[in-house]
Amino acid sequence: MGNFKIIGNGVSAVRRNSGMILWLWLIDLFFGIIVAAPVYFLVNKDFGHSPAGEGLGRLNFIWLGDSIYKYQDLLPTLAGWMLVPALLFILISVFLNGGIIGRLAAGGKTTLQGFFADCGKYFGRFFRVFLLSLPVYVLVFGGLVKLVSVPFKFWAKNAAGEVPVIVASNLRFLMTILLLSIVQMYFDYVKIHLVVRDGRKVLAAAAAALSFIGRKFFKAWGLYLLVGLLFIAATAVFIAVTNVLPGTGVAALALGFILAQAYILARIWTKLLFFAAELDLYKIFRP
Amino acid sequence: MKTRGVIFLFLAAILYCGSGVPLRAQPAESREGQPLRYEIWVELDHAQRMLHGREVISWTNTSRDAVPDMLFHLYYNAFKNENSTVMQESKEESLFVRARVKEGEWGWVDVTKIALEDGRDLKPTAEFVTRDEPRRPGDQTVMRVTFPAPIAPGATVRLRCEFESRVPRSGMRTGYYKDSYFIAQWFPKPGVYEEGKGWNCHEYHANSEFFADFADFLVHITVPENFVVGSSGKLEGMVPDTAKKTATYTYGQSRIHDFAWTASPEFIKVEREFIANQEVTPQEYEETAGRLALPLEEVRLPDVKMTLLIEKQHRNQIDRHFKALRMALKYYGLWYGPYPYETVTMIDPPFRTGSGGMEYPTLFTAGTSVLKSRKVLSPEGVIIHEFGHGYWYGLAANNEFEEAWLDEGINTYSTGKVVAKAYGRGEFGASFKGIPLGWFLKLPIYYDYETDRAAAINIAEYDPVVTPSWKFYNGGSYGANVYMRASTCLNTLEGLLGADVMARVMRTFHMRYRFKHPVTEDFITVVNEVSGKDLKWFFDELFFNTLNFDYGVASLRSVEKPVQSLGVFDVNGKREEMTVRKIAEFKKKEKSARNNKTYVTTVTLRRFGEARVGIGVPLKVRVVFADGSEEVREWDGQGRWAKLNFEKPVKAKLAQIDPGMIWLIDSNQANNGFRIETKREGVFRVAAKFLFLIQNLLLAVGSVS
Repeated sequence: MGNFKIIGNGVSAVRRNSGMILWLWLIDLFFGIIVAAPVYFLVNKDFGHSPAGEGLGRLNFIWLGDSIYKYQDLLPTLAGWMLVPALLFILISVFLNGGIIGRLAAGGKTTLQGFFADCGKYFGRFFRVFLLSLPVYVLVFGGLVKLVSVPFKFWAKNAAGEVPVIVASNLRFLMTILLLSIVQMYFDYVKIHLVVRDGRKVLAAAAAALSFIGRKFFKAWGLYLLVGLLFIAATAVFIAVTNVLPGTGVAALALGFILAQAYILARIWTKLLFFAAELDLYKIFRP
Repeated sequence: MKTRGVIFLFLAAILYCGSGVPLRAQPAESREGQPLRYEIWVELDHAQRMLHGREVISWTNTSRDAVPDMLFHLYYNAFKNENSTVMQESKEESLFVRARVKEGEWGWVDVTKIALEDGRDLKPTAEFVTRDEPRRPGDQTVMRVTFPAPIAPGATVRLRCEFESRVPRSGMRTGYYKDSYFIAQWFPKPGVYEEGKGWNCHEYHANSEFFADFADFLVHITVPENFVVGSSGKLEGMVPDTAKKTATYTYGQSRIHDFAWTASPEFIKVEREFIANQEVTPQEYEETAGRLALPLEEVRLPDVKMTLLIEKQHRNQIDRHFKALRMALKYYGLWYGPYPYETVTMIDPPFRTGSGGMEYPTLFTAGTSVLKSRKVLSPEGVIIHEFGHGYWYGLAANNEFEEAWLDEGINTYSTGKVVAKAYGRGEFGASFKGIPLGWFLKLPIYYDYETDRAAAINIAEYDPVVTPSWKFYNGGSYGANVYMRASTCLNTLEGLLGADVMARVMRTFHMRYRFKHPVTEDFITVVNEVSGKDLKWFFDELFFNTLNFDYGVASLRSVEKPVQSLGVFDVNGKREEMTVRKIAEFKKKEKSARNNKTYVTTVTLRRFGEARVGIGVPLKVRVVFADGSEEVREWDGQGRWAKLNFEKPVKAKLAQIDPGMIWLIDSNQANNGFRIETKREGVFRVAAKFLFLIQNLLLAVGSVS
């Protein structure tokens, strides 16, 4: 079966489970509001009664200068404040992934009860996968990325002009993204293996996923990159549309907010599509 | 190339090569006769990265002092080792990029011979001196030689000097990369003698630029024959040496105080003319003359030969470079005074020579990149700024070590005005991995004064604007104070004086101190003289102190004025108590009361910062009422707060202090206005964008799970 067909199956699977997108969006929005609320109150205090507040529609260096002056000491506090929900969100994501993959693997329509049952069922296993992934990320980004960057750096270092420097820099960035995609794809299959086989042994699942990817690497990676391209396309459409939105007016504000949330929904949809397509591929080619 | 120059150079080269004696014994006498004159011969040894040079310096003591010694800048020694002042300061500021020098990449200058014209050797008296605090005894960027006898007032001393320099790999503002060189601060250069004070000759500092005396220069530069050369001054001729495969270029220029040059086979050389009558309309001349209250002839501009040396990789930006230079020549010329030299050379700095965005007399370096959005005003802003230094530094030649704001601040202010006039707002030049983000995203557009202010208000409490460059808290404070804060203060001053008066201030200051070394007090004197006001307080508050300027409206309240007051009153000799019930009955009886309501509006103003406006320079306060009427009052701004009361038949809806935004330096423009009604659209927009950012970040971090 070709990757496009697999993606088509994945799209169908996500459509059947579209309720999940809504739940995941609500959770993301909830955490987002927790972090953003203090900023709203802060800005409202300083700009709510000020005529300068009317200029907040588009970035302008008068109010931006004011804001830097006023809030620069708050940045460490804000960063700290963001860290806690971010860490919590990682844990929540570990929890939710169980529900996503569990329900997609089960097929059929998803109920809230079934979703959270799977979240709970796989949390322990997925948390161990998460712990296992941490040293791999460190290894890849601390070592492997630097290693593959060496020829690009060497090329840039000896360049006679800017073009090689820019090309090398972008190729290094692309390499990093591609390496990241491989690592993420690998751990997706570890989780899928645990769900499909209902296994509990994470290391065994990791070995099985490695074996699977070893056998079907280009097929699997090609599929991953194709779905990734859908994400890039969604991002491009979002940027293009927001660029033509007017900067002021309540209608533009509302439209901008709706578009932004539509983009978030598209991101979540893509996340589900990754899992659904990978699951389909795994089922087709599993040993 | 002019024929006469070629013949002259050819003959001179024969004499020079054959005799081994200097080409011209008294080099500058045929020129305009500055007290300081140089003739320099320098050969670039490309293989060894060396400069072999010799110079004849002629200096006339124009002071009333008998001068016993002479101090020289030997700035290549800044790159000699880690004990130099610049290296030490860079390390202290953790500017590792600047300070990192690899094996074999150090630069230095050795004065191998220094003698009087009669042959008396001064080398034994030579010593390195470090006079700036804190002392850095390892620094070798200033050398003193002592004369056998003091130079009497009016007397002239001629020195013959030979030097060997190793070009640093890529130092600050000078260096080489592959076959390309940018050569600045390269020759032994005397300091500035100040009567009664001695030599003003500072070490090379990390956070400073330069100071030297006006001189006549004649410089012969020998480079490999395939190199394209650009230089300060006017090209007087070129003599090839086919045997050695070199070429010697001779450049001359009077009344400049530094000399830089560049050489690279990678350059494309393009020459164009600035033809004043094509650039400036008669109407523009008339407007300028009227505004500056000058005769028409005084504002007319001369034609100028423009030369661009641009790297091949940037060849598609040639027109952008020339347009910016034409705009700079036009507006600096119209506003501050005609450009006094015949040539200006614009260098697209050689790749990785660390020489971009720097000014030298009649020559400057710009800086661009291969991928440039047309909406981003770069390289335009850099070109205009660095050309502008030809006025503020090149002509009004302040001491950049001691009062850098006088050139950087004034020139940043001037740049902003020229860029705004010539181009309008520019797009914010953000890029990712060398790719302009403006190609994909809608980025903010801005005038320079807006970004300058954003930096300026954040730096007020670190150092006064008028601080010796090496004594700033750090490089950030130096940069933000002398460039952006000074510029923002000047924009504020323009707001106070009005654009026309400010234009006359700038013109007067420039022309009065052209070919001189002005100090801050000179500028203040001109401001007071031209404006007819005593604005010393302005400079005391904003230039000599570290005071934050912030006035604001703390609150705005409008309440109905009570028709009767509660309490006990003496009415016709009787004591009568007014109660709530009685007042209500009174209101009912007065049918017209509803129509005759009066509101008491109270505006509370505060001075949040330490800086104060001057006495007699009140702040305007504008109050807008619900019926659209307005009242403007004034507050002297001397106290910490004030309340203004208004009685009107309608409520107020808005109060503003400094409604014309004259005080651009005010660090909090948001609190300058207070609206009774809360309008949250902008707040929601910011919050929604922030929320969106956070949601994306959360999804990104969640993806590692």
